[in-house]
Amino acid sequence: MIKKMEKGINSDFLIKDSLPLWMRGKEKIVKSSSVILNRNIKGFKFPHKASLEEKRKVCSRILGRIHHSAISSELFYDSLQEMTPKVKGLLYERHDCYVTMSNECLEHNEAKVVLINKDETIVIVINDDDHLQVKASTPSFDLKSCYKIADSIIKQLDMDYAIKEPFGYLTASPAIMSTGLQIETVLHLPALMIMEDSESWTNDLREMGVTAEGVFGHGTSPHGNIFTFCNQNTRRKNIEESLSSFEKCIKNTVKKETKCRKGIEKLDLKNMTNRAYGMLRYCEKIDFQEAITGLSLVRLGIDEGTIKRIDLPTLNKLTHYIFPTELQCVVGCPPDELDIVRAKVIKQALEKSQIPTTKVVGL
Amino acid sequence: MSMNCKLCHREEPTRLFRCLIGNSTHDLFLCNDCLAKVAGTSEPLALIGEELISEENFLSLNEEDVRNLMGMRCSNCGTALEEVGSSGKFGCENCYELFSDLIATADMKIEEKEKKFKEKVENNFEKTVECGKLEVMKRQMERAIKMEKYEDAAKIRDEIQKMEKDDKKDGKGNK
Repeated sequence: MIKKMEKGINSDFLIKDSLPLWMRGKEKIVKSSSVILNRNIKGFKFPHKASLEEKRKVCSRILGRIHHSAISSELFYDSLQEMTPKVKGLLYERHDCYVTMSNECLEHNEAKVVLINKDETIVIVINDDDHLQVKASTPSFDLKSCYKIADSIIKQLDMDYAIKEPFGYLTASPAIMSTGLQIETVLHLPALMIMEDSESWTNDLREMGVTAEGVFGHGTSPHGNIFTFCNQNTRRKNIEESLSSFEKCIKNTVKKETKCRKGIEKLDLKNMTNRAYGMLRYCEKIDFQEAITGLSLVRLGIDEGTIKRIDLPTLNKLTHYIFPTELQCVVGCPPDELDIVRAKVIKQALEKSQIPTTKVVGL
Repeated sequence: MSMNCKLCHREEPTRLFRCLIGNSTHDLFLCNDCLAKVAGTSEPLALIGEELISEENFLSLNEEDVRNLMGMRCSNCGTALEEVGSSGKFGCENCYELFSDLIATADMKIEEKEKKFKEKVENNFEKTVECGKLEVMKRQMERAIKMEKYEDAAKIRDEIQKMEKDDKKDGKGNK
């Protein structure tokens, strides 16, 4: 008998032994890539205009199809309305999906369902911007295989999707109509941030149809030098064209970052990265912004061989635990002591390569 | 003779709005309020195409079309043009038929823009970083000034000057 999908996306499910996808990669610059396919069901208004009853109908129809498909055995699901703020925080911090955190938007959260597989490489959201959003990710730079997975799920569900000539697939945002394709890639760009004015290269990217935004913090000067690159517009293009032009753009950025890393090496890479290491190791209290920025430089040091006292897997685990919600869940510290506990966790990891054991508490 | 806004016919026009009717251009004089409505000063119109309706660009609609567009509302979901402007979203499948002119015009504009910029930017994107030691130090100095670390900036400046002098000497020597 095929195992059917289980209900219950809780913190235990999200944290236990698993790092967020973008921290699992072995590549130096590209941390993860994702392809999202958006579809709407024919005959229903798009979610932001649909009544609650309509949304419920759409939701049960899609869930029914998923339930009878081959991927159902891999998936866990939960309604956003039933999720605790901590679980929503984890989903957001782990970059699995953007969920509405505030309870003011509870109405929007009704009939909104998130489905996720155990290793978080497949995330399906029902009734977000569009009725159905299938996201396939990988901790490397492989857009084509992500697309294949997302497309195969869409085909497996075989629903009556809203499609009309000459527009193609109809989505709530006209920018992605025709293919309903969104492409996302997470990149770590510390050298580019040091060497170049971020405004200028993000503007260049925009001209090429790609937006770059910080994962943590706002705009083009984020904390931790981690960026999400997204395509702006996919209409009038076929899938191959969109994927290959995006790919070209990412490859150019990677070349640029590599060149900048070489440039910094000539100057004071060793000093810069070791200084960050020292600050993290001996501080008594540290907030998230400072910690993620420091860890970014330590990561650069590991990548370029100037720091050998900590390895990449330990650093990844450490980066994972310094997030506010993860820290609260794993270490179980009260919110007002976060900065002190964070400093202790970092110190322990850098001195003894010890990471806190997974103890999920208080949920 | 005083002139009134071409759309509301009440206010005095303050801005010029250029439309493409057939193959020729026509100018509409609009008041600030009407221009804001039509030009969609709000950012999300960019999702349909930022050059779609702006005073410096052309729109392939005539005066009456513009007025109709402003009052246009989808009979199925009730989405109005202004709403598309503020949310960047269509409400249902019918909206695509209703606002199809907008999409076509926006596509045309985006295509033109892409032709103009994309190749140029793509080709230059990678080349823009100069990573010689001197360039790196100049950037470091700029950063130090930005962060108001003037002592550091001065030290780097002295080093740069020294390097430039040495470079000149080497250059002469080589020649």
